[in-house]
Amino acid sequence: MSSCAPFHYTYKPDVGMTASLGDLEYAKLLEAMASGLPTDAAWAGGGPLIWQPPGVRRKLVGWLRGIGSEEFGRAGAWEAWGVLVPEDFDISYWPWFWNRFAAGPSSNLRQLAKDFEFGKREFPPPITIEFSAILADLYAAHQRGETLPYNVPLSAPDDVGLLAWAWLLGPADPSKAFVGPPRRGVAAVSPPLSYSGLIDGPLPGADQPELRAIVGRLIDDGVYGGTLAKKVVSLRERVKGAAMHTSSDAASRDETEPQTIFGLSIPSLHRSNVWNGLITLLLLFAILLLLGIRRDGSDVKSVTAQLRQKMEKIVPTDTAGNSGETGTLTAASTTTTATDETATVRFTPKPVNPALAMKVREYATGHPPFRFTPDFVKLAARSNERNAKDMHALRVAALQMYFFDKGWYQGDVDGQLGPGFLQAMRNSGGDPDLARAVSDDDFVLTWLQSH
Amino acid sequence: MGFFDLFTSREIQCPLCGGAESRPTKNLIPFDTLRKQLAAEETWTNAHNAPGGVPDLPDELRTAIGTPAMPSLEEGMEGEHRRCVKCKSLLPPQFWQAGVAQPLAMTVTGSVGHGKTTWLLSLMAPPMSSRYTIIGFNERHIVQSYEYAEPYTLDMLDMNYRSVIPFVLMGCTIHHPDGLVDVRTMDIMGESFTTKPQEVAQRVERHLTGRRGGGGMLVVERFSNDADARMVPTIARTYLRLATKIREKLRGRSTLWKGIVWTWLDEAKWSPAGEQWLRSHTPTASDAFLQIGASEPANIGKLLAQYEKIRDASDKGLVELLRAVHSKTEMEPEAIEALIALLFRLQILYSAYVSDRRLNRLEYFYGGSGQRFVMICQELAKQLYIRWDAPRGGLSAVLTGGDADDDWKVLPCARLTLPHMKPESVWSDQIVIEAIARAGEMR
Repeated sequence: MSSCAPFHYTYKPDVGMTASLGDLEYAKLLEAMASGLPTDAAWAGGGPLIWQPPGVRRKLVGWLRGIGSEEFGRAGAWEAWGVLVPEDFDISYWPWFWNRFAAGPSSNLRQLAKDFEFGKREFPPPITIEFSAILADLYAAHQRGETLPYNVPLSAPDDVGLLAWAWLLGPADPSKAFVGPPRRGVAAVSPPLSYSGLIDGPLPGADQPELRAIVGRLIDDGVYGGTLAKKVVSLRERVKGAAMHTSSDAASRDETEPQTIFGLSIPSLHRSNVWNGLITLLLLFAILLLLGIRRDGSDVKSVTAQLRQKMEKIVPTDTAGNSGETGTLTAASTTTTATDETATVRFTPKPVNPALAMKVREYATGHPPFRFTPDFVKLAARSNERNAKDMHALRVAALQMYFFDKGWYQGDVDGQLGPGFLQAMRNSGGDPDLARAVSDDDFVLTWLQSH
Repeated sequence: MGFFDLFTSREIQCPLCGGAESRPTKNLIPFDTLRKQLAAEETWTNAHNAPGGVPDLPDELRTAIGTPAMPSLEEGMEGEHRRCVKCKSLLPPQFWQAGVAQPLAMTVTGSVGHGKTTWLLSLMAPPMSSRYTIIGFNERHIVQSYEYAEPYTLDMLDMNYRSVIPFVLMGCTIHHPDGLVDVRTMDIMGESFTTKPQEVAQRVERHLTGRRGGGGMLVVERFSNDADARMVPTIARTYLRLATKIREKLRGRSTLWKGIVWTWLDEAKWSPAGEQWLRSHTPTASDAFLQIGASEPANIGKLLAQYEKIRDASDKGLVELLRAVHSKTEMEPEAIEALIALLFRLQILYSAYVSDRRLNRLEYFYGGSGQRFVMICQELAKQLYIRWDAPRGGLSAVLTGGDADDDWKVLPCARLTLPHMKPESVWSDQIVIEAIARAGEMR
C-alpha cells in the first residue's frame, strides 16, 4: 500500500466542502488556513501548502487557493489539492514538484502522489537575487525570537516560489516547518505556520553579501532543476552561518543608541567595537612606548596616521544611517578574535554578474528543451572575472544559443559540445558572426546580455 | 442531579465547555491580533471544535468593513464584555446576566447554503422597517442584539460570508410591550452532526438546560429540489433523541419547543398540476387560490380582494386546503411545489394587505384575525414540508414517524426580490413571535 495519497477538496454551492479525493476531515481542519485567501485576479492562483493539522499523523503537501464570491456567490470558499504523506515521510524535495502542484487539480493527482512517493522530482520554483535580503530578515526575526509565522514579503505572483526557498533555507527546521499560501491578513492557524507569504509586505531590510552570493549560485543551479534537495539542505548550514552572523551584527547594531551633537546625528557606534578599538589603541601606544619611539615629528605623524586609519576603520564614514556592513565588517576585522577573522575572510567581495546568469536562464526557460549545465551558469555569474575557463563556457553557451536561434541545432542541448552541435557547426560554414562568437570575448558577452 | 448538587450546582454560563463563571475583558483589540491569540488558546479551539485555528476574513469583506475591534483575551476589572473563565469564549450578556428578562435558549443548525445565517440575522439584527413582516418593529417593540458572535461580528455575518466555526454564540434581547426576553443562541454548523454527534449533543443539552428558562431546537431547511439533504437525517436522529432527554430534564421547570425554519420558498414554481389539484380538492376558494398562485409576486398587491374573499369566509377555503393537504390523497411532486408557491404568495399577500389598509401590525396580529391566518399558514407549511421531504428522508420523520413529536412547528420563510427594490425577508419575525409566546408560557 502506498504511503502517499492524493487529496482534492473543493467548495460546491449548496453542498459545501467536498472531497473528490481524500478524507473530508482534513478539509475541515484546513478551514482556518484557507479562509481569507486573496481572490483577485493576480493572486487567485494561491500558493503552496505544507501543514500537519492538529491531532493527525499526516502532512498535507500541495496547493491551496481561495475562490472569489463571484464564482459561487459566497465569500470564503476555497480549493486544495496535493499529496497526503505520513508525518515522518521525508518531503525535503517537495519544491522540485512545484510546477505539478501549481498546475492545478486537473492534473493527474494519483500519478503525482506516486511520483512524489518515489521522488521523481522535476524543477524547483524560480529564485530571485532579492531573496537573499528576505533570507537575512527571516534569520533576524528568528534571532529576535519573533512569534511564528515569519512573513515572506511577496510583491508579485511570480514571487510565490520564494516560499519554497524560505522553507528550504530559512531558520526553521524543514522537517518541522510549515508553509501557507500568499495572503494579505494573518494566518491564525494551529499549529502555526513557519512561513506565510505576505502580499505587498514590507520590503526586506539590508542585503548581505555572502547570502547574496549563495543565492546567486542557487539561481544558476536552478536553471537545470537538477539541484538535489540534499545539496540545498547542506547549503542550509552555510546560509545559517552567514545569516546568523549578520543577525548578531544587526542585533548589536540595534543596541546602539542614536547620538546627536548640537542636533546633528552622528554615525552609530557599536559599543563593543568602540571598546575594542580603544583597547587596541592603548596597546599600540604601550608598544610604541616600550619600543622607545622618539618624540620627533615624523614618528608622531606616522603614529597619528596609523591611529586615524584605525579610527576610520572603527567609525564608519557613511553618515546616512546605513553605516552598514562595510563599516561594521571592517571594524570587526580589526579585532583579534577568531570569529571576526573568519568574518573578514567570508566577506571578501567577489565580482558577480547574476543578471547575465538570469538572462541565460530566461533564455533556456523560453526555449525548451534548451538547457545549460550547472557549470555554465555558475561561470556566467562570475563572468566579470573573465578568465579563460569562464570565457570558454560562455563561448560554448553563446554558440549553442546562436545555433539554436538559427534552427541549426540538432540533438542534445545540455550545454555540452555534443555530436549534434559539432555536426551543425560543420554545416554552418563561413558565418561571420559565428567566427566572432568563437574568438571575440566582448561579442560573446554582449550577445548573451542582449538575449 | 445528586443531593449535594442541589446546594452546590450553579447555572452554566458557557454551553461550549460547561463553565459556570465568566470574567470581564480588559479592552478591545484588533481582529487579527485576537485571531492569533485564539489560535494558540487550546481551550478555546477545543470548546469551539476548531482545532485548526481561527479563519480570516476574505479580502472583499475586509475592504467593505475594515478590521473590527474585538474584546481582548486579557481580564479586566469591569466591562460590558465577558469571557468564560474555563475556555475563554466570549459570552454575550444573555449567557451570564441576571435580571428581569425572561431567558430563552435556542440552538440553530442547518446544512450549507440553507440560509441559516441569513435567517439568524433576521432575528438578531432585524431591520426596523420591512414591508413583509408579521408584527414588525417599532419603538415599543425592538430587538437589541449583542454585536459580537466570536470570532465574528454580526456585520461580518451579514455579508453572505461562509462562516466555518462549528459553534458560534450569539445573543439578543427582545423588548416587547409585556416585558423583555433574553435570547441566547448557539449556531451549530450542520456538518458537526456527522463528524462529532456526541460533542454536539453535549453542547446542545448544556445550552438548553444549563440555565433557567426554556429552550428551542431549530433546524433551517432549504426548499429546493436539489438541496443537499445528506446531513438532515443525522440531525433529525440526534435531535429526536435529545428532545426526549431534554424534555425530561426540563420537566416542571420550563418548556422545550422545536421548529423547522423552511427557507427559500420563493423558489417554488406554480404549475398546471397544482391548478388541477386545487380545482378538485378545494371547491370553496379554488378561484381565489388559482388567481393568487398564478400571479407574479410583484403583482400581488392587485389581489387584495382575493385575500379579503378568503378571510371573509372565516378562512373556510384555507382550512379546506389544509385538510386536503393533510389527508392521505396522492399528490404529484409538481402539485406539492405549486402549493408551496401558493403558500409563499399568501404570506406576502398578508403583509401587503396590512400595509395597504394601513393597519397596525401588532393589533392586526394579536387583536385581529392575523394570528389565525399565520397559524393556518404555518400548519399548511408543516403538511407540505412532510409531503415534500418524505422522499428525501429528512426531518419529516420527526413529524410523522412512530415516535413523532407533535410539538414541532414549521416556520415558512422566503426572500422577496422585486424590481428596483432590495431583497426583503418574508415573515422573518416569526421566530420573534415564537420567542415572545414561549417566554409568556413560562412566566
